[in-house]
Amino acid sequence: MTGKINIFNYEVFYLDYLEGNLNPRDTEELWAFLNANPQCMLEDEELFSFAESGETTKTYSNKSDLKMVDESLPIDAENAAHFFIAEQEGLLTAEKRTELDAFVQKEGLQQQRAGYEKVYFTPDLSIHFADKAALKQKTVVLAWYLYPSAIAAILILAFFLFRPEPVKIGEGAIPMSEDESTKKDNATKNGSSKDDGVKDYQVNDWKENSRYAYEDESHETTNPARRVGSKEGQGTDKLELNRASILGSRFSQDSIRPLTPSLIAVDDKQEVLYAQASREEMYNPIEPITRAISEKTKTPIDFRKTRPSSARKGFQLKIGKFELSRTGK
Amino acid sequence: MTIKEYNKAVDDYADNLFRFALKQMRNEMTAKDIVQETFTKVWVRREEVSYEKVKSYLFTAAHHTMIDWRKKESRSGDIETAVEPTYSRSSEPDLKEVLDEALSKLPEIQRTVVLLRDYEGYNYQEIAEITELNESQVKVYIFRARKTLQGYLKRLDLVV
Repeated sequence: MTGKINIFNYEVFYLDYLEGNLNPRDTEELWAFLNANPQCMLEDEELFSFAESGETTKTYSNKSDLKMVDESLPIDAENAAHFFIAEQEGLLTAEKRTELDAFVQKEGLQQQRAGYEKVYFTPDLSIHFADKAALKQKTVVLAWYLYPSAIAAILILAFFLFRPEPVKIGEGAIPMSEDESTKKDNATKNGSSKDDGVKDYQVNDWKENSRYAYEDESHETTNPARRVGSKEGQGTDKLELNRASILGSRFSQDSIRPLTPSLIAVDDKQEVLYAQASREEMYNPIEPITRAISEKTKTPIDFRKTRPSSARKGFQLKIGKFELSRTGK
Repeated sequence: MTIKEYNKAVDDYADNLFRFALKQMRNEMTAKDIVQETFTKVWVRREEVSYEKVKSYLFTAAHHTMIDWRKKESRSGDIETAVEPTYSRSSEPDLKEVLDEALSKLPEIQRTVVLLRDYEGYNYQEIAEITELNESQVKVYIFRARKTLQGYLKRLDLVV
């Protein structure tokens, strides 16, 4: 044994052996290998026996099944089955049918002919597919009146997802009115300082001195350019005292602007039209949603749309100071 | 095809398709899966399929689905054992049971063409379109299948 036949190449030797091209020495070695590795022998057992038994001389016994019948030829015992089937399939001409009848009568093949009538299947109509409902597609129709609500819900979501960065008050050039600067200078000259317990109202301190900035929120502005009054000795009490006059004299409705600029320009005419719409004609169809989000985010949110019966159509969406409204005919 | 038409197709053809698949696969769960997969295929391509052609399309899709199914299962070696017919041993098996048994022994393509012919009444041309054969092939397969079935019955007659 040379050991040249192994698990990786034995198939090559094996094929040579099958073709009769393997020399006696290698044949002996191949068999020794196969005896030592019976798993290889097992896989090829049938093939070996096939090769050794000379079964290559076997013939295909069903040749008649492969042959095609020439339907123009007379019906005989050999092709009768074809015509029996053709009869059942409805493919026989009237002429051939007559010929077949005569042949069956002559040969006594009535039973054989009847046998072909039986090889047809009929569906069992009692069998049903039980889950038809699961196969069906549901029609999704979004009622026209739900569109404004859907838009509102999307806007609310979008607002909180992509909320604009808050404007940093004090950054950039936020001019202080001339009289404020002058008064501030005077205060400095008079020796007023934070140490006095009076806050020097620095622009950068606005966030910290939120009382000033945010208390004014209730009056819809924190815009320093619109602020009036003296910063001198500007204690809290003084500020509150000044507010009444501020409100009365300088804060008009026109001056109110949201801190966060509106993302969508709203047509002034539409605003006017909307304002004309009666509050009673509007309602909030998604009130639980807006209320829940309001409570969660601590931001006033409201959505209202006109009632279906209303002559004027429109809606209004408010998220904090962001407001969007639309009116139609 | 609209959703309404698609849903009508479900009503009209799901049973036929189920019977066809059940006869082929001989397993109820598999047949149900075939029906579901077939209708899913139709739904995906509903824009291209008109309601008039949907029945033919359904059977074509089912035919291909079953072929794919068998290939997949033969690859995974996870072929579910077909439910054996339950003959009542006390009496002779009736013709239907024997025919069913004989049908299961036919080659897959012969079984398909025979069932399309017998269950749905398709002509050779329609069967050819569904199975992507030509008419002559369909005819040959049907004739061979009938001959085999008849031979099966004949042998049984001799035994019984």
